[in-house]
Amino acid sequence: MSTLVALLHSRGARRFRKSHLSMVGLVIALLLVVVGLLGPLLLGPDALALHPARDLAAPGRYGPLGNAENGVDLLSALIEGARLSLFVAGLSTLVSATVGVLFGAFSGFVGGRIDALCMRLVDVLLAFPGILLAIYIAAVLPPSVLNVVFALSATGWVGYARLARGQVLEVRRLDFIEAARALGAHPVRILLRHILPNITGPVVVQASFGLSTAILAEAALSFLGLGVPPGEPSWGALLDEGVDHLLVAPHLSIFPGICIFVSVLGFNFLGDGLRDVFDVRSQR
Amino acid sequence: MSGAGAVDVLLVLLALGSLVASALVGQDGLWARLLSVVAVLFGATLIVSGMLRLVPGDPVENILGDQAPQESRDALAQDLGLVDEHGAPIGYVAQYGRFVRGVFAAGVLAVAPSSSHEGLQESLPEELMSFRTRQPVRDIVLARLSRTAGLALLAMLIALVLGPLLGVLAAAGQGTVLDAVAMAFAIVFVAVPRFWLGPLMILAFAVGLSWFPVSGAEHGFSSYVLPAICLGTALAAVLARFCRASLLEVLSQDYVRTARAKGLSERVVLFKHALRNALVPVLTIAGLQFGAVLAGAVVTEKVFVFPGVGLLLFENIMRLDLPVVQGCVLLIATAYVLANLLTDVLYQVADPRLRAGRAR
Repeated sequence: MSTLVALLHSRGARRFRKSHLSMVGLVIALLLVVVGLLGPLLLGPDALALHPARDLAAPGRYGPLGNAENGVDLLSALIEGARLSLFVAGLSTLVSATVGVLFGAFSGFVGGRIDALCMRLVDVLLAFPGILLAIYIAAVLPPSVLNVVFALSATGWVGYARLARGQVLEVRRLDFIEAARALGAHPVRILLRHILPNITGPVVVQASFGLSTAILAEAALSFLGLGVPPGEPSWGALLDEGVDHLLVAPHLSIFPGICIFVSVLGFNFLGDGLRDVFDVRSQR
Repeated sequence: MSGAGAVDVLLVLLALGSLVASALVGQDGLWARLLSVVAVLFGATLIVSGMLRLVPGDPVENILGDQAPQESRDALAQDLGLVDEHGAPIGYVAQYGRFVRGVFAAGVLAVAPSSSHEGLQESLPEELMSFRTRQPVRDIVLARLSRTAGLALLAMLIALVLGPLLGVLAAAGQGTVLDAVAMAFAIVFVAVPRFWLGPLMILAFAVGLSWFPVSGAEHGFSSYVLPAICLGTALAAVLARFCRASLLEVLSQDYVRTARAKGLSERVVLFKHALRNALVPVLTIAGLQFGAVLAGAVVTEKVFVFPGVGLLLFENIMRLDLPVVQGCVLLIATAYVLANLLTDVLYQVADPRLRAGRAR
């Protein structure tokens, strides 16, 4: 707790509060979380009901933002989509970061040949550019929300592994680690209690950018027809629907597009601000 | 291990051995670096050939439908190399050996002059064939390769001009409106999904203004323009932000202060002293991002119905035509690894401090 208080009063945190963009990012992120968590509760049980007669209706006729395919109210769908998109992005980022950090930290901590072998495995996975493997996994698995999360995590963890390993290599040379070892602390304890807490900063920063990447990746998978199952209104699925009716119903691509755009922007600004807070130097 | 010959076992051992050897040797020096490229590509083949096992669907049923008689199913499974001569599904090792030999044959045939193909085909192992069309994967992929290569290079070119331009403008006018506008451009390019930007561009420039074709690749250079812009702006945004940070860091260094102190004009300081040093890391990032461009090509090619490797990959994932998928993925992985190697080499040429054995 005391470290958290210290962090909130640090120079970086002051810079964060003074930076307009960082605060905008924080507000957007908080807003998204509130809408994603509470919004669906405010919707009635039949908020996503089909009204075929209202198919692709323009904004203002039946609902404030218009209607999607089969007359689904777009505002309700976007609120439900906020929950879904944040769930997919949040969970895949969490899984990627956890697996990646544990793998990378282990690799860097053990060092030597095991480290070299682990990193070669990471190289092999990195030889498949980003979303390619995700596309493949999403294509061969039956469509479900959790499989989308799995596809994004299966490729996402590698970046965190690289980052965590580099950080561990830096931290493990420091004197207090030497001291802990001299006191006879168990290596596992040193890794979990002394090293991991000291590399959280860069990981949190990367996770913030990771959230925006995941939102875009989920949208891309939806566009390729490999995203959430039909009928689930993730932002990517809604935007994909909108692109099909670009001329007839432009509102159907504009509003989901704005949602994706604003949240990607928000998490990017937040990441930039957090970089100042944790004083992370150049990200390679 | 069903159906595995000694050669197959040897190939798997070779692949695993190259990974271990590369891990032991490290990455310092040119030979170790080349070994690591070989190891990574072998590792990639291990994963790509395993893809067949992950598929829940049955390629045979996918092609023949579920009404086909058992004999023709068995014959096709035999034909596609999914089962051995006794009708048992082949094991991973046999499958891997088959895949690597197929890739090797395809590679030799791709570089050999076509007049020698008939003689070669008899002495080489059977090359990778499409499940569906029974054509060599080599022909199918090579027919598309030049288009994706052209698209990716044009996108890289756009990114390499636009990115540093925005970055330099932003850094030179740090804190001014110019900075804000340049970075706003950069962030918009990052945050707008490609498959939304693409259709909007088609509406505006192809349907509305008729400057470019709506889709396809039949119209020569003008077919490449919109997809390349759609693809290149994403990387441009990354480069712009990175270039700004890199230039600001260089501008705060002592030698820049010295240059200013001795009365050089701001333009000379910026372009002659600072920019050259600031661009080296930017070029590295550009090289490392080449893979992202190739992966982005899948989405971009689908938006513009641009018949390149990306669209080929997507179509054949949908059709479960695994040899074609494997060929595309291996090709993209190879291009990616070679681009990274080239970046590494260029980086050392550009930055004398990194030469002389200290390769990392």
